[in-house]
Amino acid sequence: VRLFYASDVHGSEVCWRKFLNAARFYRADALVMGGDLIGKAVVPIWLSGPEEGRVTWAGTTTTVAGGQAIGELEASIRNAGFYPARLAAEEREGIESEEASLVALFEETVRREFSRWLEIADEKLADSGVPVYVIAGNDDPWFIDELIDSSDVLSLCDERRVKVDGHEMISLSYSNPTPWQSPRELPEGELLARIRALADQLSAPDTAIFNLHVPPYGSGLDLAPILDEDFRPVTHLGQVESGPVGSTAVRDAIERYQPMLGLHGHIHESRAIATLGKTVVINPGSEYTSGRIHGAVVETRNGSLKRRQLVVG
Amino acid sequence: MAEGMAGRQVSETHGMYVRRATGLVREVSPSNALWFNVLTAVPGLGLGVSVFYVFGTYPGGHIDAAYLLIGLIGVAIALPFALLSMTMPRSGADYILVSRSLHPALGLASSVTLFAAIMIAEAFFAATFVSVGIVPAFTTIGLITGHSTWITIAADVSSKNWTFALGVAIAAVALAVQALRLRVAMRIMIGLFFAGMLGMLVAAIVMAFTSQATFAAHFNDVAGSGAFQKLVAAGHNQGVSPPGTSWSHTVPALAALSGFFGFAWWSSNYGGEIQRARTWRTPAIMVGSVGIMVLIYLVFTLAIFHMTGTRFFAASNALNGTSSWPLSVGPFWPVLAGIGSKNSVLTFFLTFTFLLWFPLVICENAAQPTRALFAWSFDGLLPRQVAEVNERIGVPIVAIGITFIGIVIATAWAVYSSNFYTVLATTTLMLIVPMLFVSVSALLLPLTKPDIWRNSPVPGKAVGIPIISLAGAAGLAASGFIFWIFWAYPGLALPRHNTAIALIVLIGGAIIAYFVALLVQRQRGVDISLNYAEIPPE
Repeated sequence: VRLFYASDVHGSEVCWRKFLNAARFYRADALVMGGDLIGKAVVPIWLSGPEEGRVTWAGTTTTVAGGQAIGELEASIRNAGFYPARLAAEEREGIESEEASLVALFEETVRREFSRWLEIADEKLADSGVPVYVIAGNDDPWFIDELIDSSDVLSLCDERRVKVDGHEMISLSYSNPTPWQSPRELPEGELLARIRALADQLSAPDTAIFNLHVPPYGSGLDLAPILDEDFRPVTHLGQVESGPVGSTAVRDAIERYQPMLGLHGHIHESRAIATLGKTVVINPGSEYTSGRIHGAVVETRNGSLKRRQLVVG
Repeated sequence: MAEGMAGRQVSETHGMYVRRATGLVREVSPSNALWFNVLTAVPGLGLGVSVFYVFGTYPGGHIDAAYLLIGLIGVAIALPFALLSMTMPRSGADYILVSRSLHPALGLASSVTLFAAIMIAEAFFAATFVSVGIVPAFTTIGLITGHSTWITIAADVSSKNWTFALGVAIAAVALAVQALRLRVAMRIMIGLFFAGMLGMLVAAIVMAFTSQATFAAHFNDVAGSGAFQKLVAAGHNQGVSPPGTSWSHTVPALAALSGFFGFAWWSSNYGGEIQRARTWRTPAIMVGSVGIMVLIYLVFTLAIFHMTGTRFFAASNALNGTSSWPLSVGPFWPVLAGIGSKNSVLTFFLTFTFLLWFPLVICENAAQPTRALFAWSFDGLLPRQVAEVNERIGVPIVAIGITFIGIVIATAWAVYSSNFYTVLATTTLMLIVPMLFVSVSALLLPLTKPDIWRNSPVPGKAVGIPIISLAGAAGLAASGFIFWIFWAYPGLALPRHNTAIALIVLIGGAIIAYFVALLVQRQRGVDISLNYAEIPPE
């Protein structure tokens, strides 16, 4: 069986489209998405008329006029991992005056845009017979799970054990605590308990796949700059300090159960393949803003891993 | 991971509503990238080699106009790198840009050609650390201070074994800097650059405030009574034209200067590590770098002319190495500035800061081979171990080790063999090959990779032609022009036959190597062509 795995597309529509097309492109039998699907920002287009608006985008504020121009702008915003929102200019003060309005706008926009992604998935893969296993990541709000679950094409597999062509796969969207206090974070102890609860259901751990959003601590898949409480990189003697920020719980679980394969994301800049005992662990990294999807093609035969390759498509 | 916001779930930032989420930190600031590009002009050595060399071989050129013209050429060469780096902000420069937009085999061909040229250039700088660095420096100190010990030491270290040992030592120091974290390495390189520039600034001030009469008197004190006047007369008698009298001799000056002004794109070796690489800051940084290079060279050259006078300057370069040149050391700028000051402490400072340019140029050049080895390995063209990154310091330590061994071997070749300098001359054209490949990549990107182009930050058109294609055409014209000058002017010492063979072997060999690697990896179940393939989004 051949799998294509990617993670951390963070709202980039072009990366989402490429992910869905990866099955045909790499002749993969199944697709696995490892979380962090949702973008980080909404770009408001302040409409002064039905087809004219002002927008601040890529550092400049401009007026866009005409349906086609606005459509092209929206496509460009979506491909960079942001969400366009057409808003009436007179709404601006109300939206910006209280955080609750901003939060509501964000949720409404994300729901609308993510529904577009589900439609795209339907168009591309409805009749393909290719299973698409999807989990959210620590950055994703909880309502995303309902939307994924409502899809006929995508299979939500968070905190579930599923069969991927003969291999059991367990999945978890949580991360260990981060400085951002993102929606899905757990202390290491609770994280380990959840992974163990899933892993204990496995009938053959040695041929299983652990699809865990956060990478194992100290594996080389989890190197990132260390940040201070203001989210600035910590420097020492003029150099940015980097260090492992993965999960000790994930590492403990992998070392204990020794699955065939660990699929991880979360740390964009730590693209790597490593081994922990008998387990091959992979983090393909992410550069979603460039429109290039980082992924891994893995192939198994007779219950063991035959091929693993990092790709950028 | 960074770029977040504490406290609020969603807030307004730069016209967007941003939620609290994890982010990505890139290590290299735009200002560091700018100075990193500027230091490819290595003014300390460039002014020691290019200006002098050009005046010796092609006297009479309009050097000030040449600086401005090479500045425009440098911008045209840098623009395709800049716009492609905005589109694909990844480390690896020409290899990544060409392999992802034209063909992986061509990317490897470009990268291997540059790799070979850089390794030979590294050996050249290591091997000349003694002959162009230490010997003139120590001789100048001896001449100005009157202590012959310095001159004796200079003569002693001129032996081949000392030349090799000191060359390897300076290369080891330079590669050790590359083995530090990127941010620290860059700070050290930029620190060395500013230390070297401080020496040049002091020299420029000395030269600007030393009259021609004073310099002539000091020169006569050092070289013998009437030496200044005799040299000027000898130049006149032998028909040496002063600068600014021949446009035909300005053209080859452009080629000589291109080795110092043609690399304002060098930061694209670290493209994936530069902050805000997908914005117009990337070309702005490269264009700004060229502007600073032109300014440094122009001001410094005018200062030399002010002190020595153009006739002495032309004669000293044309007659260096003949019986008419009265000193045992060539007319390098620290020598002339030291004589101009006739101050022991100042001369010591000028020569010491001049020596700093050698580790700097070796260290800065090493960015290409180390990053190229890493990228080839990552793409499956070399064993995976080559791309191993030290976990603690985040540096491709194996690639740096291989680079160092290569430099040691090439330095031994440079010191102990007589045919090294024939090969060295071929590198001038090898250095232009990646510029040609990248220019063609930018020119054709909208055709070869329309999806990448449409999703890039530069999808626009001017006069109906994609902006990135226009940049590619400009780069192609500029680098093609430099290629032609080297080929057409025999005084630039290009061995055409050897160069043609070298280019065919390197480019052809790399293309074959790619397809061999493709077959070998396929047998192992890995399809390396997938590393370069773009998934269609539609």
